[in-house]
Amino acid sequence: MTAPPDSPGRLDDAVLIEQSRHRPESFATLYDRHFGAIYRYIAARIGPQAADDLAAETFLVAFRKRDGFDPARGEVRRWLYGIATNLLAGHRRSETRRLEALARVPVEHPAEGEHADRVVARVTAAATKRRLATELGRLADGDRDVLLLVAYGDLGYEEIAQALDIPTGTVGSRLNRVRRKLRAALDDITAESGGSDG
Amino acid sequence: MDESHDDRDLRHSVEPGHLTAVRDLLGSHEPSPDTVAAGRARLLAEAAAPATVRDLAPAGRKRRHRRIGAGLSLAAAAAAAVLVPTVMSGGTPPIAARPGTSIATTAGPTARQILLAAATTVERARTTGDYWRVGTVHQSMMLDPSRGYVIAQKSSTELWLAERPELQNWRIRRYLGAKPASPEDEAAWRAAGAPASWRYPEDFDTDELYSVPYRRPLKAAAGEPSVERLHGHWNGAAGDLTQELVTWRQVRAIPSDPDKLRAYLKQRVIRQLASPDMAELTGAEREKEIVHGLRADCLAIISSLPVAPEVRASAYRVLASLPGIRAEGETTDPLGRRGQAVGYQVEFEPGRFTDVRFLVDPGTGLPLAEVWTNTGRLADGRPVELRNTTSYQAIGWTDERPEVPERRN
Repeated sequence: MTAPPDSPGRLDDAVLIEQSRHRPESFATLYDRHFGAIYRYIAARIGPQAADDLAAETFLVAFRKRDGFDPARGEVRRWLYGIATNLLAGHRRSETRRLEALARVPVEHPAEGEHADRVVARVTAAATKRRLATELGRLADGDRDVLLLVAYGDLGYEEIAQALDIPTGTVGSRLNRVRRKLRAALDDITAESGGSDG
Repeated sequence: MDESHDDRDLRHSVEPGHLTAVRDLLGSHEPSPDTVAAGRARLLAEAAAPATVRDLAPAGRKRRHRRIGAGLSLAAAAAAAVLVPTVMSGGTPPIAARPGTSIATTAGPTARQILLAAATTVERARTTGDYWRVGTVHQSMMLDPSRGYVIAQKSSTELWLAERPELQNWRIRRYLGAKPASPEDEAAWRAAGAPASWRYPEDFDTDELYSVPYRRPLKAAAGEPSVERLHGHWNGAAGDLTQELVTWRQVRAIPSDPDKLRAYLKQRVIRQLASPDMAELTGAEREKEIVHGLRADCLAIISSLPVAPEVRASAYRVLASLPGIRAEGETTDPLGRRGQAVGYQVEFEPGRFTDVRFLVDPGTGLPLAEVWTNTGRLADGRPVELRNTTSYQAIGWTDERPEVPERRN
């Protein structure tokens, strides 16, 4: 029942859902296939400890709603990301708290004797972390959802639109806004000097 | 907007470098085998006994914010109680929440007295200068890659911000090196061959308590200063109030009367908190969130913003009025300076708390340090304190100029 993902004769996700209507335990195969990816997405947003619970809950909710899954509206994967994102909406404060904490984590600093070009790269990367954490905290909730679905779910426009139940055009405009904001936040720090020749 | 984009274009619509930066920042956490097994057991329990578990589920969901510990829902606890100890093992036990109180347990001054005294003293500070300068030393602690001892790493940051447009904004940072945190750690480090650098494997688990460099070794030796000119949206910025850069004009608009300041900050906090789950909160939970926000805003004003001394004094007074802050007596910061400490707890993830200490210099009324303490575990299971400290070396106006090297080329 728990065939490894790439074994021959692998059943399609949607078929498994269909099957689970009569044989509920078939749903465990979907769990085995997708739990890792859903967990990584949730852990990135609210931290691994809280993710333990919420990732498992995502599959419970999916299981309860399996009768409502419509294969015409995209694959199982994006459906699971949609459920996870809905559950995460109840944890905005945890996410904000985590980003606040990440904005406090000390940045890396140039090592002695490092080549100047690498120092510039490093300093920029170091500054990036704090600024990025702050900027992610400032994004509108819907914009952050779209960005993190791209970063972690590797979903396309259409899939994100289906997962979040919003128009495809809205996905595009949210991503445009996110891109502008990330550029503004990340590309305005210039390292003047540092390292061995500073 | 761009409906014609296909999926390949989509992944390029946010720059790939920025996506990588997001993933580097937020991490790629793999579930532990216990987590996978527990989640699977919950699912199978649901599949086996859908009616019973479904009835319990809403209660489990409602409670998730307040749950202490590794966090199985009630449904799971009922369906798979035997798994609980397995899931709890391996992680760091959360520091237990302490009931908040403002009353000192020793004969020393109360938290309120410390903060109000600081308010009075800080009102006498200098009020103008070419630059607003904040100099800090950060110290963070981490386990060594073998988890045998604790390493303390230090770095310094100076932020020089000027309102006059002809003056540049600067940030100067320097890595000050890393070494074993205590004599005991030093002995363990020597026993391990006294390494001058440490390399962490990509899957090294920090339990979210600290950060370690993955792509290059952590070095014991200090580095040279690195100087950055800040521009872009730093132009006209007078600092950072919690999550947002604020302009000089915005800083001047911060009210100096304590009641008005409180109302102003509260409005900010409520705006920042606006999210769907706020509506679900009970009055008490909502109040707790507001207190957290007010505390963070007051500390930001006190320790980093170029506000008038009266505003800084009022921020101390608002802080003194908040619940959950207690006096912790006279303490020494990592730079060896004595100060009066007040403490509180921050819930950084549901059910996990960090102890925070804020040290004030009674002589100047200015903050000396903020110390965040977590408990980590060595490989042999011994608990160790991991402290993340910001020490303030300078907060104030100056007519000096930063030491900036000649521009190359």
